[in-house]
Amino acid sequence: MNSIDDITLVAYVDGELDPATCAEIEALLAKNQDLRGKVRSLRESTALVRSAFNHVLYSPMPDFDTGREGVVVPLIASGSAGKHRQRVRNWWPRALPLAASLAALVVGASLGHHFTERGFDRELRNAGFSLSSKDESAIQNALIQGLEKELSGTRVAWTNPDTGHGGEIVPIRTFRLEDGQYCREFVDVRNVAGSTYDQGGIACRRTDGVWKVRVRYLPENGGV
Amino acid sequence: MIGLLPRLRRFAYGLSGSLDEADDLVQSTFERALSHIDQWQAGTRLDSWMYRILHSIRINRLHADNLRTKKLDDSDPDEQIGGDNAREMEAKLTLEAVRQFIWKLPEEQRTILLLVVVEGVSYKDVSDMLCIPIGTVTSRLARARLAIKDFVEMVPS
Repeated sequence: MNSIDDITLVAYVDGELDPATCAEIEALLAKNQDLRGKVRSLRESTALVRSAFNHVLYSPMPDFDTGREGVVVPLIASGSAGKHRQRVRNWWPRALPLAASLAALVVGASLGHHFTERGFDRELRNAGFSLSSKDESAIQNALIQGLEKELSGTRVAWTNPDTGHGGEIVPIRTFRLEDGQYCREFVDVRNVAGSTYDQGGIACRRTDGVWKVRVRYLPENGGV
Repeated sequence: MIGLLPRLRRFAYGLSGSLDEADDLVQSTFERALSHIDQWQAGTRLDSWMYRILHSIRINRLHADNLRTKKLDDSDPDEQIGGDNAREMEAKLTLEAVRQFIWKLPEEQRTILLLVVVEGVSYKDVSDMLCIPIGTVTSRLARARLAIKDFVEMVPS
């Protein structure tokens, strides 16, 4: 790659590119000062745009008529309603600033945002389910494919016909740590026995090409 | 569902440039969403679906009412600067300038810009949401971003 068009550069700033293309751009940035300046300006103006409308979130809200009392719709619904509890979750915190450092996220997450290391498994176990090793390896494959190859927002589905379990991995943003490691946020959705469990995470790619999940967290309970 | 209110309102305000109009859009969005809840496909994101409804209501209104010029709240109480901290004032002025610039962008660029940058939606989800090819999303977005970059560079800091 010798030159970058604006579309690719903006996608790079947005963390929308796969790690390989990211690396090509980084290499180009390393030897081109003008390009570095352009990226810096893009990031600065993007940060301004990102915060320009936030005051609306905190300004007093009128009384909206939101219809029937107690209408509860899960953000990511399971296919069957059933009698399993439906969970309303707020995936909003996924919109992390590009430059978010992992450390900041972990601090944020541990301040009451349902930070959990293996909470997923515990939750499933409490509900009386366990994943088979075949489930686990299907999830692992989807995770690797999603993180390594897919554009953000692409859903990589997995199913295990033996257990009837399935789910999807959705890679979100790509960012780079100060030590140069590429990391990606992802959402891990699992459909087990008619219920849907979802969790967010961040995985980082080691220099040997192996993706390690560094943190897993439950989304904030938003919604109702 | 109620939890989506603040973000829908932010999106509506970004699109319309007026809090009154934003609140009106959000109210209509909820009414339509609740009466068409059976059209929402389980397994898809509710927030994306509601952004899409809000956007289509907005577009319909623009078409229906294209004589009306865009009105901007210039005496919005939320815009008042709290305290007399000079740095805060400066920051507000820059943000206000950025908002004004965004409101002057073509609607289709502004919509994509707000969804991606402010609301954190991925390119692919925007493409699905607005039913436009991903190449159109990326090119419109790049045009808007480059324009804003040039604008911010011009503003003396």
